[in-house]
Amino acid sequence: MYLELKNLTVDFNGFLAVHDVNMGIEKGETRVIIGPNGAGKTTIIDMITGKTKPTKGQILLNGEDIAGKDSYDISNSYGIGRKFQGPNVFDEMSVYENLEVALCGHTSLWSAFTYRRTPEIYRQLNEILEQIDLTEQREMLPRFLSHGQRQWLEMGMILAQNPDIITLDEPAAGMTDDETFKTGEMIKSIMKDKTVIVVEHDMDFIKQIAKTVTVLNQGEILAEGTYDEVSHNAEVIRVYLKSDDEEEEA
Amino acid sequence: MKNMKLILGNLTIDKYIALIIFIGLLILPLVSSRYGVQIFGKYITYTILALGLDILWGSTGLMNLGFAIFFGLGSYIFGISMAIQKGLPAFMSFGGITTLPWFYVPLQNPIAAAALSVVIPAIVALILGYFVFKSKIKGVFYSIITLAFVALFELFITNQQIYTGGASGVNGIPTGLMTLRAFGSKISIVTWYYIAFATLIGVYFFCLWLNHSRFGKIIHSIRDNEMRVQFFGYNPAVFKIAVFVISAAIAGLAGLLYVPMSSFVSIENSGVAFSTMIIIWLAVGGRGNLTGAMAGALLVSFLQNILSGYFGGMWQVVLGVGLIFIVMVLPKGLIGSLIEWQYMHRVHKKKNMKHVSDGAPAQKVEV
Amino acid sequence: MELLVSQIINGLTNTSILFLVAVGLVVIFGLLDVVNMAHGEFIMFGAYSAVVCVNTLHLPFVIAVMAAALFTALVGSVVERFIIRRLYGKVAETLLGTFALSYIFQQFVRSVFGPEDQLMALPIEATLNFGNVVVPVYNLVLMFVSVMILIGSLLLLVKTKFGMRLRANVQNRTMVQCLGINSSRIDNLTFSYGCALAGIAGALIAPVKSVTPDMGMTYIVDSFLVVVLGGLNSIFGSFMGAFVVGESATVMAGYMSEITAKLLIFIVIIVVIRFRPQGLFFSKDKR
Repeated sequence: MYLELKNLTVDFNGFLAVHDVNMGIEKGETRVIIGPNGAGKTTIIDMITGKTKPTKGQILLNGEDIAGKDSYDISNSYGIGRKFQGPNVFDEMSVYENLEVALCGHTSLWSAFTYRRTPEIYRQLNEILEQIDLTEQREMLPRFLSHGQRQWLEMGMILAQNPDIITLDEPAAGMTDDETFKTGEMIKSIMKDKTVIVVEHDMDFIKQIAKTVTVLNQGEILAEGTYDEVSHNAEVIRVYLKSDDEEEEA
Repeated sequence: MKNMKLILGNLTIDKYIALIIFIGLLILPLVSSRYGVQIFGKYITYTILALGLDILWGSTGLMNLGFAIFFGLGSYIFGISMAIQKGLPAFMSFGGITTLPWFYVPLQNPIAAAALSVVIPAIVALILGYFVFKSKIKGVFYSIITLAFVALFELFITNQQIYTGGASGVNGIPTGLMTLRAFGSKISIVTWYYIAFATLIGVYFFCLWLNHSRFGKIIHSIRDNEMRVQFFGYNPAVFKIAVFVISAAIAGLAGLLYVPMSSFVSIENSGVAFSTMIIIWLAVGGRGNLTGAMAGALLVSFLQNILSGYFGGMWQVVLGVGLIFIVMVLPKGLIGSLIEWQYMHRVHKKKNMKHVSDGAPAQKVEV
Repeated sequence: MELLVSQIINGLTNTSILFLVAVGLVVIFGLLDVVNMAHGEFIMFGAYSAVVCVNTLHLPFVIAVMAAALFTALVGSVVERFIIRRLYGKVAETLLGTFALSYIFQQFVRSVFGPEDQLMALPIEATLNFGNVVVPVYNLVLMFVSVMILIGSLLLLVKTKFGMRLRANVQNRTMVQCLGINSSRIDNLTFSYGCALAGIAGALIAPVKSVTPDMGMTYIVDSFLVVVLGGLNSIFGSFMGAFVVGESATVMAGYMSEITAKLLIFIVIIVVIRFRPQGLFFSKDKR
């Protein structure tokens, strides 16, 4: 098993945000984690990327426990990247500079001083700009971009970072249907040789990208399987319908 | 020629103001009295000091409320070195010391002292930065810790009368005309002025380069969104420590150059009050664009000199009211507001042009 | 040994003073996220109010303390209304704004009263003797008042309706406003309360410390030392911080200079936070 979560538990002052979660993810897999609000999806991403320290359990990457390590270390030494919920980019730098900051292999203090824009880097970043469809906007400040474009920019930054495992927290949040579809195609085409973990709400979007879906509810795994299996699972339907009712009440 | 025009047309207004400042300082000794040269020589060292804080506060967002420590360390080390060139200075012999304390022995060599007055502040910043940033202390906590640190430093220096001259400071440093044993020749105040001026130019371009290098982009990113930077694999603590050390070294250098301009070194230029003053320079001029720091340092120091002559202590009230005005009306400072005005002006012009030419992707205007 | 005992008892007095001068700062930061750099000047205002009440108007000391609280609360309210209110959420700007105020306040007092130390008699001259250790009764009053303020402030926050609104206001401003509560008014009262605490501290230390226009500076350093140790937004933490700094500084001062002692404590604090950041900053950092 490539990435393995073992008995993972997080206790926020008595509230079990994640409780005894076991999950195995193969290399090259695209895994979608779904679940109602507060199911612990983002918390799992937080633990894999080092933002939150698990109270108990292990996160094994090729057999090595990375739980509780600093996020920069996890990104640097273990090649795990993260896209946040809602675009999280640097608004005071141009699109191109945003990608440049994310660029892999230049994260040490020393290389911060010795870095040069080589033709190789130009080629690489231009390629990414094309993939995320922002070639025209390369000199613009991200705050003048549309919401969808900002999301793609962050996706491009993840590509520049070039991690082995990519975690995406609701990459389609707040997008129009067209944008969502385009994002799905983007994930499929450009990340096909990477391991991808996606947290998502949108069922159509999940159908578009997912092979294996894990359903979380109240910090525990409710079901796991292909999209069809999961979407016909009686318990999953119950939980989702229930949570929809609650949302309407609120 | 066309290229030249393009470059000049794209420069932001702060670069022009920096140029004006540099030209003004360059020709000042030609038109000013010796006294004026000495005063503005001091201001140049303040300007260098302000640049040091600007890369720390303006570029990285670390508001250091005790920055004068590093200036103080630099000036005390070099000042004491100058004071012990001809035997024990008065404050030591009055304190009952008969031989030079061992930790001052290396300072007998002025070249070594000059080096130490840059290196020691950097080491202090390295140690403090290591503990503070590795502990993930940020934001206002950093400010508070640096303030507590400078306050204790001030108390400590004042308390160590026999080693530091206490509250009255290190006296008896020959102004301007200082014999450097290594060269065996005397250096006039005007020469010192130009040494300081050249250093200012050097530090300005160094900071400019720093801000535009990859390092600069990373520290700006840390300032704007530290969390995001970490997930790209950068360790923010390392970069913060680095920028802290660089800024402390610049402050130490400024402190060293201050010594020949002033006949004495005292806590007045290394304590809480002076630290606050550096913060005020940057607030008035605007931070993050280097010119604001320089303009603020020159403007406030100059006004302080003039106004405290007219108003005495009431100058503090003028300063306070002015500062409140800046904070509430021009939070980006004078230069920062000018840059913003120019930016809006250019965007406006571009919009109008767009109607004519139509198309062509919008160019990024440097902020 | 006797030195140690007497130093420990003196340490309690210093703990009380440290807590008194720090608590107003902590209240304002903890609830409003504003670091009040003019805090020391509010202490100074409190001290001068007490001096005027006792020396010029010949009022009893208790009235003087109340007058000091009232006066500083009033000044605080005006300052909040016209300046601080526009700067909430901007750390650098609030620091600068309150810096500016401290300049103005200091110079104001200097031009009215002059730079010299204002003398004030101890309101209670009696002393208690424990063996060879002499403790002025006034020091016991200081300890009593600081404990009362600790308990009172905690109760105010936890038990009263105002405290509830206050905490709600910190957690979710928009919601509080939706509920029809005037959150600006709560901010104003909070700031005034913090300033009043500074005023009380100033009045209480006036008889035992020197009262000068720039006295605030001394106390702001001590307050920040306490706050670095105890946490900027925890009232109880600041009490513990005051205790640790007060006791260790006083006990060590029996064997070295007080300043060296404080410097040592600071170095220890810095080294300790490297290994236990949570233990020192009791509350989690916000934003």
